[in-house]
Amino acid sequence: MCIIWISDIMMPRMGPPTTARQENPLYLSFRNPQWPANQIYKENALEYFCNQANTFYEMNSCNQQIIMQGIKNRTVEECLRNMQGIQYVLWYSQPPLFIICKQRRNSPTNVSPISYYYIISGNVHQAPDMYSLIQSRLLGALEPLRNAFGEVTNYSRYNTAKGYYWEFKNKPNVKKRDEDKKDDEEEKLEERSTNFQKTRTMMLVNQLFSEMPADEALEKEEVEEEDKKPEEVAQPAAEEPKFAEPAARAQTK
Amino acid sequence: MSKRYETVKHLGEGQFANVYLAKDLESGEMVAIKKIKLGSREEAKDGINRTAIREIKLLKEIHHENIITLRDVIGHRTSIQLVFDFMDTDLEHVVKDHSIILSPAHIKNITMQMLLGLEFLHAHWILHRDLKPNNLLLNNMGRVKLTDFGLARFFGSPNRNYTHQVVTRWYRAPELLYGARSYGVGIDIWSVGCIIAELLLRAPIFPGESDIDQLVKIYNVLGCPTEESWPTMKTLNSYVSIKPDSETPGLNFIFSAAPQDLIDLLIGMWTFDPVKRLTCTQSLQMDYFKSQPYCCLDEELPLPNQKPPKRTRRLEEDGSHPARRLIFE
Amino acid sequence: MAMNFWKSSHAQQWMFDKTEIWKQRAEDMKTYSEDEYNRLNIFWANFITAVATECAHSQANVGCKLRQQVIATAIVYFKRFYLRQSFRDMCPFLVASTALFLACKVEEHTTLSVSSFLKNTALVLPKRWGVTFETTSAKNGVLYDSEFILVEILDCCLVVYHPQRPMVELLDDFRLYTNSSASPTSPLKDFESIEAQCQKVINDTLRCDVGLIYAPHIIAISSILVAMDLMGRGEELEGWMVEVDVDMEKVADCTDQIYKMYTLWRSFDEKEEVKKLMAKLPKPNQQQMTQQQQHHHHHQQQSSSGYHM
Repeated sequence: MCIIWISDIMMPRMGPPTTARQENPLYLSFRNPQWPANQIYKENALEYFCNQANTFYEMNSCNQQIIMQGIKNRTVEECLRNMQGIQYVLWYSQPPLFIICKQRRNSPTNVSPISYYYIISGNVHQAPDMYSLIQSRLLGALEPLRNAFGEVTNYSRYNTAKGYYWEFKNKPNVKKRDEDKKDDEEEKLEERSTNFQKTRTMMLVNQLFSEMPADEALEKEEVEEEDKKPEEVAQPAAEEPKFAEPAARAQTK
Repeated sequence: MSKRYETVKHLGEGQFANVYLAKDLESGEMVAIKKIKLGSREEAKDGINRTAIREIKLLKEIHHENIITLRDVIGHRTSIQLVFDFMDTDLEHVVKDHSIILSPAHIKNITMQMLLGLEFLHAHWILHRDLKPNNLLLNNMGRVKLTDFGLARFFGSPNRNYTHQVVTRWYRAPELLYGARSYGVGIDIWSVGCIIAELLLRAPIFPGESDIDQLVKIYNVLGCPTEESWPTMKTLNSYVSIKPDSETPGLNFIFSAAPQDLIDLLIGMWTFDPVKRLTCTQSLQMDYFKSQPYCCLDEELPLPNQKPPKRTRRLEEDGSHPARRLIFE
Repeated sequence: MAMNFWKSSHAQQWMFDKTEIWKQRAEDMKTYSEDEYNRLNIFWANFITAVATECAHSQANVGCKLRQQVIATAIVYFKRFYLRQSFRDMCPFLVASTALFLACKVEEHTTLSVSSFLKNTALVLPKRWGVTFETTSAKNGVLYDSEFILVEILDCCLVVYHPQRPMVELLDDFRLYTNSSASPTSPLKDFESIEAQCQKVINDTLRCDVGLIYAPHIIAISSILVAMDLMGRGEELEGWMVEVDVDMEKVADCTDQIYKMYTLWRSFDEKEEVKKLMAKLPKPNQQQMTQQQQHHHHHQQQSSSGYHM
């Protein structure tokens, strides 16, 4: 008769010490460097998990009691079925992924799951809950998007001739070509107006016409015109906040 | 055998006696009859075996639910027979039966029953001197009873020397291994510690093959006592300086699934200096008995060759049984 | 075992009152008067003590001096036996030797064999009391039956409480009281001689029946009272006695019995009278004593041992 000692070697924990357990266990992970990940199989995944250094593993669980008492004549699952308290069971296995369920057994037929842990290539993590998962995914999707928008806004430019356009930082070896392009564009601006200008101006004029119909002819004296103009001009300005800039320009003409 | 008892079968054999299952024809109850062996002709000349006398003398005086009850004494000539309540099994069988798993609640219950019986003995100035798992009987109601008082004796008279060849070696306290001629309740407490360890590990914790080896095995687990921790150590008769084989791994490592308060109890019971060792009463006051999971009920103790009992009661949050609390007077 | 006298078998089963005791001895009262029986009590106690302390000449018996406690236990066993049995059932000399034998074992003492004690008996009886005694070359079997019979009659109640322990405590208490009290008398003198005298009286109480009637602490107090009185120092106890919480009626009764015993003893010429008392001893029956269970409320006697005197 001899005592069965725990054969795993003690190793430093990964993650914060047990006293500071307030830290979110979702950020912790465990790995046993002495055990090559490719030698974890369905038969020993649970054994890999049940390691004293693993912060997810409670030493007063039923599994540890079985180990301490050296019960070898039955399978762990069979023993666990007849015990009560915290237990760990292999839930699913598809190497290199294994899922361990931590449950509380109340009777041979009744268990209450508490949490799940998954082992991937030897790394053990706690499976997150739905809320954390969705939150994390959403954040993951939206944050970059938000950053992108913020970043990109800095690069928008406006120019009466061109309208809105992007100007990104140019690489040195590309610069000259762009400058050339600019020169080209400058030259081309000998034309009366760009497409942008034509289109936009038409839109503005159409809008003014729709607001000030033709049959309301202006028969005013200059003095009155001056009075009315600010009124007339004020209206479109109030109604067209989108075109605030052009309207303002029109006002200052 | 006498006319009152009808033998059913032979139950087992010990160093001094054979035990039979019998039926008390007067009451209809089952009893265990311990027939003391005759021994050599030399011993037979000495009349009734001294161990039998001891058992009779003590068991006649003490009555406690955790101590075996002597019902009757029969026999003729030199073959004296003691009649006890029948007890279905003992702790040794429970420990060896690997189809039983002992939960923390079970271990707490057994420990408590052991200590209650022993506390009663010590309060009556009796040392058991031979505590081991097969001297702790268990009946089908889950009651644990101390038995086999063949080596027990009164203590407390000053200047009385006792033999140090008591207690089966594996459960022997270090002062006995060092040949102490005067000792006290500590030797029984040390044995209780060894029995608790055996319940946890399902194997004896210090299986020494000789007195020296016994000490080595103890030191391998607990470390070596120092002048400071055990000042009177070197004054003992057979003291020799012993170094352990290896570094001690620590009790937390060995009893990996045991809660800290149980480890504390074991440390107290395995204190080297007998004067500093816990007494029964002190042990029963330890936090271990006041904390969760509480003791299970006697009826819930697992017995060999039995199905686990059905649990009909509601359980507490951590799966333990609702309040079995110890009431101290 | 000082702690639980009241729950012991001694207290529960072997304490009687005076009338009960004489009733149980009804069979032997046919042979002896009460006065004669009391003398016999003195004789038996002296006799057992002599057998225990006398060494037979054979080599094996070196160092057979037994402790007082062992002797006291043996005497109690003897008295208890003859509450339930009569002299006719079993020879008292055999019972005495067996009682010593058993008491040695119970008190964790090395022991002589029963036959060795019988040899001592054969030595002692003629020398001190002029009584002839023949041991048969009895086979060991008969003698070991005797041990078993004794255990059976005693109902396995082997633990006997003696008054020594309570006496020691009481004397200590008395000494503390005297030394600390504000009385003008000087502190307690000569404590050792008080102790010795008390011890002697306690031993002497085995010669009467107080051990079967009163609890050990009562006997202890009574012995202290008698001892101090015999030393002429009875007054020193007065202050302390008031403080002691004990049933004074019982103590008075007990001291009374002790004094009666001493009176009787003084007038008891052992050398002369024992011979006559022994002559009246009923002869044991020839039939073998069987080991039928005898419940303690049976007073009927079974057939006796085959021991032949």
